[in-house]
Amino acid sequence: MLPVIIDNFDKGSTEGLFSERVTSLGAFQGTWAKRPSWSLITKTEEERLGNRGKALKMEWKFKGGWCGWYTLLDGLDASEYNSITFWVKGRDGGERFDIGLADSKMQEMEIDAKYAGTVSFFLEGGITREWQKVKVPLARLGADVDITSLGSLVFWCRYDSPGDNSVVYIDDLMFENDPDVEAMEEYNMPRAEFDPEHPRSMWVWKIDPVVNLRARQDLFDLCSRTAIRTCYVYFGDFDQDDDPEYTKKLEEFLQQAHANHLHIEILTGNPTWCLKENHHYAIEWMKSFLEYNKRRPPEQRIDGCSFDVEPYLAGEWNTRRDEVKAEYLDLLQKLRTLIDSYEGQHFELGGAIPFFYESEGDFEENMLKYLDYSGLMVYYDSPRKVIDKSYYHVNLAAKVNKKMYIGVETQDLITMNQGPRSNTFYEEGWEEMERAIKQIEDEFRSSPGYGGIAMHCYYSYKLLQRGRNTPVKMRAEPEELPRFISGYQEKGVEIDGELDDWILDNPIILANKDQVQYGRGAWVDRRDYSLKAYAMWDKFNLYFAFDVTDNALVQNKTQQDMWEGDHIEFWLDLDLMMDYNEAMNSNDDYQFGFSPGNFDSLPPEVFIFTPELDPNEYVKFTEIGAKKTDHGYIVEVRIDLQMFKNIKVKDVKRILPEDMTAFGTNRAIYDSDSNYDEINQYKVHQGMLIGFSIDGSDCDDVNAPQKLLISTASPKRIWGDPTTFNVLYLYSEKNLDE
Amino acid sequence: MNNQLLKQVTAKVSAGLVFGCFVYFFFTLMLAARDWDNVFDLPDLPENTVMFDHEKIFAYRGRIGYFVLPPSKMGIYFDSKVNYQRPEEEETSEKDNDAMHKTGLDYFGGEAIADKEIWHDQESIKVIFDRKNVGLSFCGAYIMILGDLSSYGTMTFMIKGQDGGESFQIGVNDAISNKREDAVFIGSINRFLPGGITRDWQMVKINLTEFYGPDLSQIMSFVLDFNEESKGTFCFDDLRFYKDALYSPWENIYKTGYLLLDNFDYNYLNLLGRKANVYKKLPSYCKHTLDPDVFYGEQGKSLRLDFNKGGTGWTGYFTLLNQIDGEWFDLSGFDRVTFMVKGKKGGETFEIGMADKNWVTIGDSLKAGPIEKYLPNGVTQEWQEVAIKLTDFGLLDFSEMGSFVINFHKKSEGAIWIDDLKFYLKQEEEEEPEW
Repeated sequence: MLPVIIDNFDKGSTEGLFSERVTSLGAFQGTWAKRPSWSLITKTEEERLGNRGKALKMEWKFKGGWCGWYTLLDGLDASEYNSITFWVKGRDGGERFDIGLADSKMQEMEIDAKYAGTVSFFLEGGITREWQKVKVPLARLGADVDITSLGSLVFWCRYDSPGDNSVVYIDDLMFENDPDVEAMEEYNMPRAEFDPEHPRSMWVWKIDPVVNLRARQDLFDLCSRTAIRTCYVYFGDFDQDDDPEYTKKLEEFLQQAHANHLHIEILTGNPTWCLKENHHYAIEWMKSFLEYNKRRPPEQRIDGCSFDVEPYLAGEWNTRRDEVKAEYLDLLQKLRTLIDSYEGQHFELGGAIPFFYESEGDFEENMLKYLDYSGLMVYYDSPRKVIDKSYYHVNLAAKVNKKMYIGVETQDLITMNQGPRSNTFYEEGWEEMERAIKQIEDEFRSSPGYGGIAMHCYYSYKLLQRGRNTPVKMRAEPEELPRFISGYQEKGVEIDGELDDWILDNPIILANKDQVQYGRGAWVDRRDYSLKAYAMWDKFNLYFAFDVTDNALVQNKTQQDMWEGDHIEFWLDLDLMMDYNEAMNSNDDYQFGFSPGNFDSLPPEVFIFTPELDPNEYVKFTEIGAKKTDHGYIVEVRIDLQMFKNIKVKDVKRILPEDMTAFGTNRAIYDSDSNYDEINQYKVHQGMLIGFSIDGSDCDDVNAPQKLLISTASPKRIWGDPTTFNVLYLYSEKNLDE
Repeated sequence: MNNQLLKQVTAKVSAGLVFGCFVYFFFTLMLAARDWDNVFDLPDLPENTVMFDHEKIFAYRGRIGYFVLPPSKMGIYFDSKVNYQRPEEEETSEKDNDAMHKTGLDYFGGEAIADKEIWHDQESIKVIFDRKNVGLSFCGAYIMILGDLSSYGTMTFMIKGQDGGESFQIGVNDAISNKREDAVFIGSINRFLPGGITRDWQMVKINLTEFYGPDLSQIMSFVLDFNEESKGTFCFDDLRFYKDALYSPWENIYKTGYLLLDNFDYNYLNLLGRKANVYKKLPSYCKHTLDPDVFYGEQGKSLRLDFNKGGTGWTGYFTLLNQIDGEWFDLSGFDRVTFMVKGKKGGETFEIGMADKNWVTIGDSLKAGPIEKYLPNGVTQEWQEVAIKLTDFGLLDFSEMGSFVINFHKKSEGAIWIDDLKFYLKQEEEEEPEW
């Protein structure tokens, strides 16, 4: 089967006449935008695939509103093809857009295209400055889009640009049968091991597996691969007698689901149902399904209800919380009574709860009196945080002999504007998520209150990539970045707040207004706040010293609260090359807090903000000393490399001593040391480059934390973005390899 | 009076120095005294403004043009027979520029009338349109601005129709949208002329903050888009740019006691210039049209919603009070919403919802309840007024409001009409005491 060329962008232009916008298919293309976002297209010869013709230059800025590009497909039947393919290169690299497809009916009804994935799903490492071929499997959309009559292909531009705006070049857009696509999809598809003691569950919004048979099969397939045994499926109002055809399909769906070892529970989530005046909506809704069950054999029955009514989303939660809680509990009691009135049905009642109910007194315990289980919305991408936040709830469930399912989030919360990256595994991908889940399961497996993992939610989990899917920013090569020279000190350094055993030749100095990232207006001069930083190393430790000038020392807080007083935030990107252009921190990126204490009752202290580690564990790998000076204070830190023993470093880049002419010169040759492949203990060596960022944080008033933050980050500090870091260079005058 | 005209006038009097000086000072004094600029007085585009090659050749300030995809028809030209004479100015004579370009009159079966490149003081711009709703057909006209409007607060122009009742939507193109051939529209001319275009000259005032999104420092053109099936002729004149905002959108609200969010007479943008649309999740869907055959009152149109709410999915209609990714609307001084409703058969049902900033983010709304709560006999085939206290929508932050929603929640199929969607200001005694 020959490919169908949608557009090679060779003919016409995109300026002026509408007719010039015709594609190779004979259809039209164009852009849309809600300002202030905008998108432009130009057929250009400035960049093109090969030596002839043109490419499409797509330029956009996403800043509120929306924007994107479309090309009409005019009813094209793509059922003989397995993929949409095109070539892409970025002006800067790191550009990103989402890909969607609509069928003719959707086009006609002006229904938004279905999301197939972000372009980086289909390009390992994302868009670069080189031409790369993107292959979008059509199977991803088969349940949502009628492939036999396609309406349009769209690119949504809804991510911040790496530069002031984004520019990509697109060429040779086509439908084709690509032999790699099935294997690629198979490799990417989420999967998980089945734990019979703790079967997983999943929230299912946005699809209709009752009517849409393809969606139904896709749901069954995903559940089978990912060891999910219960689906909470969204249902609106229902009356079994209202639409006999629909009711028949519901029977079939439930019968097939049960044959596939799946339990199906109804799901809804209107927060205002918690209010007394709205209880009848919830009761009528549930009753309609219980009535349905009453006339059906067990294999055609609904197995329960996941009641995702979250009363804290109702405005009244803030004004009359106690009454709202009481009304919600009253509703749960009514629902329980209703369920119990239907004899002979095994119909479970579950409820979604946020982890912060821990601080709502006995509310959660009272909820659990009426529920069979609860789904805990503890949406973090750090297993430690999930575990810490889950303890109370799992233990409470055990106490009242109920089950707690721990929820994990897979939606793209950033694009949805509904939370930070740390609340979802969208960026980490399912492989890393499974590693995190394993830690969570290991923690709670023996607890009688632990039910299992609950996946939120179907449509995003289905598309979740195997590997990381992080924002990318192309940046200068490591040898071109500002360098912080760490001198080799064979005898190590005594951590006593004194600098007499330090090599003081190459400090990093933060003393200019331009370096103040927050509170620039509050910064008076270098006597107000400035610092000099020094680094040294030996084969077992990294050493850092900070000579801080500060006219007012304020620090009354410890651990994660130390940011409210004077302290130094310090980042290390330990495996620099692994994720060099990823603009999001990962497990090799450590954020330390170094507090000088208050030179009275509060001793100096090291805290690790991220990744989340047990302080009792890492404290033995750190040493800190501080001393007051006439202009401020000195903080001295030793970090034992054993702290990083779990970091596997591949592809270490280093500068060889013989290629160095002097400190700080750039005449360097890089070498990849294969001996470091897959090592299990973090080792440092001469010439090694490590990412770092120093953020000095000043506080002059105990009631006004973080008056200012002065940073080495460039061009501006973005928390957790390692592409804003610079490099620490481990230097030795003598060749340590000899 | 424009600068080019000033230059020409000044050149003509070069033989008579004394008279020339008089004229020069006269006009200079006029320019210095007035609080507005015309299109030729505007600051130039910033030097870094990116233009396509064809724009560098064809684009110049004051140029008029049109866009059309047949079978719609479009014409625009300078008409020296019709001119709005400002009361404060003496009539001056001016000769035509001889440069030629066609302006689309051939679409109307006439000759391709020659006209001038530059809009002169003693003539208006005449616009003739015949918009057909066939396929992708469209038509519209533009006046090239090529200027920096960032220091201005209001634009005004004079307009009169041949028959009255002519209508179009207003937009601008900045340097970005111009390349996309897609202006930023702010709604119907009727938003700014509540009585609509008549056969008399009327001044239209547009607060430039209405143009949310485009870069006002790089305005390429002012656009008149004929977005609904209609035909007509009107004249446009005396385009001015004032530094100050000449009016407040709240003036009329305080004057009438209510915000008329939409009367559904003109445009799919509501009368705040904000987006309105349907939402649908198949198999449920809904279609909205402005129905010229059904309306409440003596004239106009109404919103017709044809809905099919299935057993699953969701569907409904929303109209925004907020600017998308911009400012939220402060409804805290209002206490009720009212609208007119009728059904095709009677018995149609829906919920009425509203969303504040928080609920817009969640992607849902708080419902005051089903329509039967407010119409004890339900929707009928006759117009009925629905009045809902805003407190019925629950605890919304009324100082940051987002949308008004009609949500079809019950499995059903049908059509309803909505008209005159208003929010009423609290009466004085309802205001909370200041203590």
